[in-house]
Amino acid sequence: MQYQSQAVAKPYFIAAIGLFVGQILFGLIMGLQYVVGDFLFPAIPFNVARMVHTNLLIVWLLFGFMGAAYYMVPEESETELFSPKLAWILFWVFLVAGALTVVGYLMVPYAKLAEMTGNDLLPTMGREFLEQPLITKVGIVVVALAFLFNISMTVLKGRKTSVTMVLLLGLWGLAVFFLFSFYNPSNLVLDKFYWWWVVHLWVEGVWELILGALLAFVLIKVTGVDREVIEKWLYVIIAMTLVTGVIGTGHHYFWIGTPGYWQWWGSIFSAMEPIPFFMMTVFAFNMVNRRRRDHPNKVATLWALGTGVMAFLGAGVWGFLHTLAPVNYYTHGSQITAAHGHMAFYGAYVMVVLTLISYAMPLLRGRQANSNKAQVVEMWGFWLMTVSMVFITLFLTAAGILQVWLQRVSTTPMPFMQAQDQVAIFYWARELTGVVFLIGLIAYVVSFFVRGETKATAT
Amino acid sequence: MSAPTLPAINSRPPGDLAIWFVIFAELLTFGIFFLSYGFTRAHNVALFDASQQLLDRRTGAINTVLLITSSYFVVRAVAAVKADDSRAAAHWLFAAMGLGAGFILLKLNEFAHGYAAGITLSTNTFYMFYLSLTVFHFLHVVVGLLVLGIIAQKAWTGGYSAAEHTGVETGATYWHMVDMVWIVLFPLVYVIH
Amino acid sequence: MPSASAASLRLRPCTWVWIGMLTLTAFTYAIAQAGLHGTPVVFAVLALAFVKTHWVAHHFMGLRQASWPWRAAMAAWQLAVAVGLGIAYLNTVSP
Repeated sequence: MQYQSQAVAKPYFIAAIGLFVGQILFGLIMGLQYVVGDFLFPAIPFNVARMVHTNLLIVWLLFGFMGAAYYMVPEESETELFSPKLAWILFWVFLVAGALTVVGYLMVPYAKLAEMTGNDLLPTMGREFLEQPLITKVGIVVVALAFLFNISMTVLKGRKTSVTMVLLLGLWGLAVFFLFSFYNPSNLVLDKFYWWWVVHLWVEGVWELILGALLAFVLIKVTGVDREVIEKWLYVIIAMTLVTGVIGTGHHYFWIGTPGYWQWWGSIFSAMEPIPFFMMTVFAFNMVNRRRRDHPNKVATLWALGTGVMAFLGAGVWGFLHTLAPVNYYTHGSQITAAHGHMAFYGAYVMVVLTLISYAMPLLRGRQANSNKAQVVEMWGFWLMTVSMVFITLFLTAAGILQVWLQRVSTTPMPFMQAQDQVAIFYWARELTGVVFLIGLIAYVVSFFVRGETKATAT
Repeated sequence: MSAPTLPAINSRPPGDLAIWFVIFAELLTFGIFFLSYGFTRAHNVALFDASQQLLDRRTGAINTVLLITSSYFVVRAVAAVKADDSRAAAHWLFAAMGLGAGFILLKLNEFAHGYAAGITLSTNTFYMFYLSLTVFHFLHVVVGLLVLGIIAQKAWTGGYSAAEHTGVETGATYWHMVDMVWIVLFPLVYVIH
Repeated sequence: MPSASAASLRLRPCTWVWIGMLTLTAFTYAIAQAGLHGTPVVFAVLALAFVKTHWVAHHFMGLRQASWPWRAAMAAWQLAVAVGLGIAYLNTVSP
């Protein structure tokens, strides 16, 4: 690594991967609860397992983004990080706060947790993905702002590149939109309207900027293609993201009680949301094809290409499948949604963070790339996780189609639980595939400890 | 007619490559909107025909003339820059902006009338499309004017030459797209019944 | 503002295109004012519109000099929208 302070990224990456493992364990718990309803009840009821699973996902991805920023920004800005010490402090604060929150979910009944953490001062709990106690939410804001301060000061004192500009825009956007989690209107329509200003404008908005910046950074490093070419692609991609994604928020406003024109606006604009993802795929493959060097870190390149493909499939294609209002009328809130959600999150955000870690971690450990042996194990991790995610998605899609047919489209609609019984086989298949995913994740973790002939040491 | 072999530099359309991505994205968006309008109308003919009668077609026609002419002026501006006459280019661009401003004023007037008459996005499906399309297009005209303003200002201070004028072509291309969209929008929404 | 000398009334090609577009616009407006309707009229108006868009793309935007993929992409858009609208009008559900 080129700058000493880049080393602060390491604990963030380690925490990210640790929490990722936790997330998957709770995913497997839920997957089993789908078919064995009282598994672990009442110790860990389904809704608690779900909160832990989704919250861990977000927190570990945030650790990943922050680690990525701490690694990328000094190198791009050609100057040391403004305050490595602050980065370390924030690491522990975020980790402890996150751990306490998860412990709170698991050990304390939710209503009691709300009472204990001052939810009556400003009620922010009780909404999907935003279940965190008020103090945790405040903590997230404080950590995020301090992190942004650190990173922004670094960029300000050094070289400004397109990559850092896009990254900063994405990260600041992430922080700004999180503030909407504090806004809890009593009107249910407004409540849902603004909830999406956090969720949609994150994952179909500013997070895509972060994704683009991370992908561009890794491609610049591993392919050696002219920076200007990559930066130009990046600008066009994020422009398309914002143009399609902002009004595309409307595809969440079809049925919540908003005026009917949202069905048109949401459908038309969100239909085009796959375009930036398609461009990212073409971009990644194109850059690798035009590469000027053969970087020894093959697996990082594999992750980069995989991110493009899986993000396009999961977010772009699967998203498109149910984004048009006439289709969504039937599929809303079904297993189709779950199928899309899993592949999209994995393909876009999990994979881009793992791409960055794959590229950066060897350098943080003093080498350009891991040994061939280690890379092969990591590649096993890549393929096992990716292919099993594809199958998880396919099984959930099948479950979703059947569910929608039986429960909504059929001339004799079936009640919810009855339909669930009918699709149980797909849930079993999903769970088995989920175990394969875990095996892939274990292989991935193991790859960090595999020795073998080390590649050329980093300068 | 066999074309002479063009040098490689002409294989790309004029202006920065990035703007052409923007152009096609915009055309795709408006195209989907136009088709949505067409197919929705097919199921609501009476409503669409009746509501359409209340639109101000004459102003729409004048607006068409304004945009077509301003596009023509922009073409003349590009030609002037290619002839190394940056000043003349600026004049043509200012004239184009003037016509664009005329479009803006007429449109604002039209929107004001509609607003006063209580027309909103929720009045009926025709008006939802009419307002969505024309307001969306209006916003692009505003952006286009800003773009023209930037390149006009730079041309005025001699910032472009025959050798280097990609900026002018890029801005011009955007303006032509704005014109092109209106050329379809006007007959579709204001005329055809 | 014609460019050439007064001796020969030679206008630039772009000026001719502009005059042509104004003419087609006048036709469209006349059709509208005359209150003409019916499928042939609709198709005629659509055709006029897309001839104009073609002129803008080809002459004003300079696609005439661009390589074929660019012209094909623009033609594809025009075709898709024009044909799509034509189909929509043909499939009008009688009230």
